[in-house]
Amino acid sequence: MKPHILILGAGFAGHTAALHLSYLVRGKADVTVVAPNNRFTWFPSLVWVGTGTMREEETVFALKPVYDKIGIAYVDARAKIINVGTQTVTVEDAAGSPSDIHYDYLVNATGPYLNFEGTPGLGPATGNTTSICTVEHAVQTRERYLEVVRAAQAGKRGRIVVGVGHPAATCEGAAFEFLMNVHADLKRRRVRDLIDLTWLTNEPEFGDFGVDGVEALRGGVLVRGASLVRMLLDESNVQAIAGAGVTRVEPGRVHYERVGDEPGSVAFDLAMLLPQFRGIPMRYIDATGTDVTEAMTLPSGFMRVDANYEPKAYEAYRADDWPALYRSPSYDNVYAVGIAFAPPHPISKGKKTGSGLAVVATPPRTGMASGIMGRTVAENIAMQVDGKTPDHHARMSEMPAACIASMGKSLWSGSAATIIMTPVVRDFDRYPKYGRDLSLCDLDVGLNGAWTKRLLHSAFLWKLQAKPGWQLVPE
Amino acid sequence: MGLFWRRFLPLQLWRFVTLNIKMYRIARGSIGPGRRPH
Repeated sequence: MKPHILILGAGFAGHTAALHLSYLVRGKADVTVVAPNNRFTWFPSLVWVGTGTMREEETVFALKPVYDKIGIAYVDARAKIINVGTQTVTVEDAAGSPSDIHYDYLVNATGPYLNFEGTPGLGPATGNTTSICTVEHAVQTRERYLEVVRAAQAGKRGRIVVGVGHPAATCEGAAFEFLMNVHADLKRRRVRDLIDLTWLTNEPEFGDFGVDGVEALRGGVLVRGASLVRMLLDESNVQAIAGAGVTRVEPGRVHYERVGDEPGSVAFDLAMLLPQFRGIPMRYIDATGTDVTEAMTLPSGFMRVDANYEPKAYEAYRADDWPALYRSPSYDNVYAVGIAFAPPHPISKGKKTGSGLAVVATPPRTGMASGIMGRTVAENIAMQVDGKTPDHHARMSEMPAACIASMGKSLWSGSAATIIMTPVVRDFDRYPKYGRDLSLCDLDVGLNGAWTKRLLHSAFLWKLQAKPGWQLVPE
Repeated sequence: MGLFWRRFLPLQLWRFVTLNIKMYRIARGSIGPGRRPH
């Protein structure tokens, strides 16, 4: 009987792992993907859905036809319990009916739980803010945004706040993209002068993006992301607040504490604030039925992998604290990738407010990083299936990342910041001066970035649908 | 970023080509540390 590889989740990490396993273990193992909603979402373009410049249908595709094409089984369900002893996952379909699926190899790529409850008054369902974390949230944001725009077109002033809604939130880059797209769209609609735009972020300084900032050499001159972002905020006439941990949101007003400053609040007609990410709530049990969730995960709910989780001072963090294989230290057939794995420590330095509230931009795990992890795990599982010892590694401290932050979608008048950094997590042992290889870093702002963003949208949707030649598009 | 630099098409084309080649080569692992065993 062939071994069974089970992938939980079909986001960037899980879906990329499935694509690569489809040929790496063809004929040698069976592969099944468990994910809800039969849908892949191209999250990087939701910033455009939120401003009404892209239709939501252009950012999603159905997963099942893709898996049918590449010979992978698909189950439309959510994972609830992982029994690491009997190697069984209990899943629940949309109707709530449970069933068990056996695995020989397991990839946990379940992505984030959007912890809106972590901040009183936050969130689109029961709170007072919107988000762009899912297609439905982005559509809801668009409707609220267009209301503010229509009021401005009728001559009424409006206030929009964009940022993160928790002191330990992540993905500041995505929120910044939305901010700059709102600015560009308001200009296009000729109502920018009537809207006060505020950027509210937990980053210690602008341009940190949860990765301790970015820098590059341009013509032999060191350019820092912080300077670039400050320039963009000034040029766009945005009121910007850094080091802010949002503590609660009332209808029309967001309250925050700030590092090195007094607590404050900002009034809004529309607030798009990203929540904190936590691990998807799942129970882990062993063969005796004992709950081993605490041993398998960190308090954040993310799964422990081959990282060094020993608590230590920020200055003592090392590049090799970061996981190489993304494999459970207890079970060598269980992996966690993308947002599901527990980072060993923040990349960006956290600070405390006067009341002792820790404000820290937690590590982002972008599409590129998640894709690389997904592929690496696929390669390692294929080696295990062949009876070999896995040796592919992709530490975030050796991994490059490219990020294209849109600042207007138009291919003529749009713009985007292109950010390339290698590696994501600074490695001062290898690169003593900056912790990164500056010959492999870049920073640029201009129309060319808008072209690249559109190119990536099309190229990746082609790749992720496993269309001919998809392997030519790298993660 | 000023209008001139945003719209100066030859420069934008040059940056588009060079940055995409750089990103592609880094992503393929042909420059940089790569993701393969090393």
